[in-house]
Amino acid sequence: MSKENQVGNNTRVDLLQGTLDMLILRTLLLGPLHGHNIAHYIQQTSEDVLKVDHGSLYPALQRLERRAWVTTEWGTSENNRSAKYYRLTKAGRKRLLDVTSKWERLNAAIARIMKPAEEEG
Amino acid sequence: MRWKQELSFIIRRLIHRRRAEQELDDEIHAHLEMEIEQNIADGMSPEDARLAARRSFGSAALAKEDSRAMWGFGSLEILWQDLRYGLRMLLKSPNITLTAVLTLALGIGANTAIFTLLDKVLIRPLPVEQPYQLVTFVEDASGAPAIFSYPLYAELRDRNDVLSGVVAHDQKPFSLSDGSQSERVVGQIVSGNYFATLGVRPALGRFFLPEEDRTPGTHPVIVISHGLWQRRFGGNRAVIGKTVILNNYRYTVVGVAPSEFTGTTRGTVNDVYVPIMMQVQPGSERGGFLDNRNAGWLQLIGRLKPNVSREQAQSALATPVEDANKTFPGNLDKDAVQVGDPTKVFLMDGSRGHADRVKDLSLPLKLMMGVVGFVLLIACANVSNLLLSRASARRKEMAVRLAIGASRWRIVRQLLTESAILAALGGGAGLLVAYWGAGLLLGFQQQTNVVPRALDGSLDGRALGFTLGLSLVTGIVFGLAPALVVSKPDFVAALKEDTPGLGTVARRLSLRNLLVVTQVALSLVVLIGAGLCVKSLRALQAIDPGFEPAKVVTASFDLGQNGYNEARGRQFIAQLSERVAALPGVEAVSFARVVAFSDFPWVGPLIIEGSRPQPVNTNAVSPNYFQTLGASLAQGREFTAQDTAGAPLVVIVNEAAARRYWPGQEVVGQRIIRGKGRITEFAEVVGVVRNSKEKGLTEDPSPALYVPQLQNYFPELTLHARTATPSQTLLAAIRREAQLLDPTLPVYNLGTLAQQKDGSLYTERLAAALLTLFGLLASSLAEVGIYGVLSYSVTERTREMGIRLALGARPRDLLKLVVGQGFMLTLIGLVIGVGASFALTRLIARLLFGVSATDPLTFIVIPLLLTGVALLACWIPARRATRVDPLAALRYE
Repeated sequence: MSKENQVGNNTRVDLLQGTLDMLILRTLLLGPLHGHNIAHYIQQTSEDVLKVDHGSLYPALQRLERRAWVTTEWGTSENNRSAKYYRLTKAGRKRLLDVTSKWERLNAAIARIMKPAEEEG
Repeated sequence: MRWKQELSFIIRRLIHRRRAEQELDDEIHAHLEMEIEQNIADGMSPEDARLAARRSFGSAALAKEDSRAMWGFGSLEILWQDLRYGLRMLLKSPNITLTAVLTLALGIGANTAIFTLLDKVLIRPLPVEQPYQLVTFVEDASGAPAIFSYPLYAELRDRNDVLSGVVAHDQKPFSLSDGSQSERVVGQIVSGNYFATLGVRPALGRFFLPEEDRTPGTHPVIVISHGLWQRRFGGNRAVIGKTVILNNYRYTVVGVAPSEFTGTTRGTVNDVYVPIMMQVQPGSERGGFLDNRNAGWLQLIGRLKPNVSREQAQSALATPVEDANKTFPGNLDKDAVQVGDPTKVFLMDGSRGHADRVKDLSLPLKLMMGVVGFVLLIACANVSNLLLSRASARRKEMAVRLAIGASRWRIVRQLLTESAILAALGGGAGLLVAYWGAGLLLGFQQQTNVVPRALDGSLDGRALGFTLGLSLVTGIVFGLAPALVVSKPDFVAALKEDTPGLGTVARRLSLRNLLVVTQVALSLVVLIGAGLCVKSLRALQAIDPGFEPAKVVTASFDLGQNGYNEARGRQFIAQLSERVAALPGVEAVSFARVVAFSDFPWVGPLIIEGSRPQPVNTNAVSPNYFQTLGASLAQGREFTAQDTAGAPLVVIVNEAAARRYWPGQEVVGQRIIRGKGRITEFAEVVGVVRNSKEKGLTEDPSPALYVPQLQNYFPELTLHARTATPSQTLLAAIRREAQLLDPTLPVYNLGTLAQQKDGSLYTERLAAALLTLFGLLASSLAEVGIYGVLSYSVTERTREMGIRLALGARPRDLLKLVVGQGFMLTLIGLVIGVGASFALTRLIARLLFGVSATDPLTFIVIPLLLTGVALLACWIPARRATRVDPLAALRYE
């Protein structure tokens, strides 16, 4: 009970929503993946910096499917388990390009602002 | 085209809902299994692996719920879930739900009923084009309509550049007949431009044509109301072109007014509209008024031209009126008893038409709106309290929901949805209460006027809108506090301890205490208002009107409308007199033109030779009138059967007239001038009667003149019969006798003078009855509130009570403890309430008679009464506290 209680605090998803969508789309560039793959890829690639509640992936995946940025099909996983695979669509690729370029511009802008501060420090 | 894809996604999910749910479950299950396998592969024990997997996944319930949220129309879907869940929860505690709905129904219903009347009487403009351009011609700021002659009206209409139109109307009763059965209806005599200037469109047929407004007496056409069309003609479209008989004269129906239009005199409903040119008609009592400058009889409404202000119009219209008064000095015409044209113009907002008939309702209705607002607040406080106590019972549910990831907003939303359902149910039931309540309100009305006041209490779109809005606001008002308290995250403590910490109890209690204090204060204000009004009504009813209203029954007739000439009229009066006098129980019979306490004004001139005519209350009465009423003569004699048309003219005056016009003189034997045709005749004062109340109980004695009916024939008259015990049987017998003489003659005003007197106290009786009703309602709600708070507190403190008992406290101590808590709350509420009453009762000072707005007795007795009842409400839960079994209480956990 108390553990769920800890998980139940409110700092999770909202902040990440747009970013999480972007990360998932980027991950799916590798090819069709199931939820567990995606979660671990993000976690490992970010060297465990990004702590994503695995549970919060699923609403995001539903959202991407709803927007038709991904399609789904059931398949068999590496260890013979039936799993739902997500595949990037054409619209999804376009979306990824859009958000990536936006993200890069934002990142560059923030970096320009933050750099002098680092030098001073 | 993305929305198409999205829609197809939603529809697929909607159709295959179950499969989608299953897939989501499977997917999440698979994810967890894979995680566990991986964890085991990483070297964890199976148990640790499972826990770690759960931890990294987060709340599965939340993941599912958020995923599902992606499948639908978002908030709409959540609303639907909340509604279903809310309904289930409400059904689970039917007692609380029923109490809450009933409480709200009373509160909302009372508000809707009063609002409906307030809206129709005071707020809503006439259903005409651009009502805010309209102005009424009034005497002064009081709003009493100014009365114009036709010639001056015509001049104002044609000679001004500030008004785009001026209409004239005069309201009076008519006898409507289709040849066999006659019915008394209210009609408006209107200028030919009436409907066109107002901008009203006929429901059927047409309105008046310009040529119907040119020559007197040549175009017998009428427009009928929608109501009359439905009632009398069954809504048949063939009514157009039909002939009806109005006051014994044939008219052709040319049009039907729309249903929402009931004329331009607020508070009355017209059934027929007769063109002004048809005012001159055979048998018409008024004769040719169209060219008589001294006969004022028309009320005017003008429409301002665009960009002309009321003030501009008022000063521009002064000129024609002054000119008219120069050419016709408003001196008294010998054969007219009417007052001449007004000497100045005063314009008022006319968006509601002439509103003086409802002026007396303005203050009581506003007051009642305030009072029912109070009642609703009290009801809200009560429902809040109910929800709080139920919320305590649902602590665990809320804590679990918070724990598995529901946000606070989500829970508040759920609880508010439940409140909204309650409010909607309450509002729905409230409509029934309002329907019934508005009828009750109207039942208090005086129904004995010449033109009956007709208030419409039916609920319409605006009332429904008001109810809906009010219910919504109500739902938020009573639902928000409990929702916020329950959804507070520290409420989670509830999960850990069964008996909550002292802090939370104290906080919850303090909110409930606040509610109870408010309730006590509000209900005290209403009760004190009620006490003052009841006391004032008592004082009014104790006033001696100068006669015995409870012993006189009345029945009115309008002989002129049924085409009686004077000879036939006199014959009818004599025959009816004789027949009614012979009825068992009747002690005396007399006729009079004016009924005491009616709104039918007859102010005639009293002219003493050598001085200006004085307007005084006048009445034409037949022999034995004062004996019939039980009024006493101070000097002289009553009229007798010998005071006939051929005999010397005689009059009777009251003491007020005697004192004012013949101070210090012997009054009997004095002469006054009675105009009769063009000949000046003198009439002798033969009696002085003691002052009596003519129009209202609170009026100061004013001069009155009585002339003998036998010398002054008027075709509209009322039979007065004196009897020790008025009964329905007697009234029925009088009606039967009248109908034996003439079956087509309508009889109205059947009743007693006491009813007439009560009718004149309409607003006072209404205020007293409603305030008492609402006061009792409010205070019983407050008592329920006190009871609820204390019961709750006793339940919460069961363990504490047990410990106290175990440590040797006597039951009496516990009783004192609990009652003391309730008593404290009551006391605070009473202090606030008394303060608020002091501030608020001055608002009703104008309604009070013979009692001050801060009447000490009322301000002492009512708080004491309320305290008594409150103590009772405290005592019941306190008794329960003393019956706590210490052992059971300590094992309570």
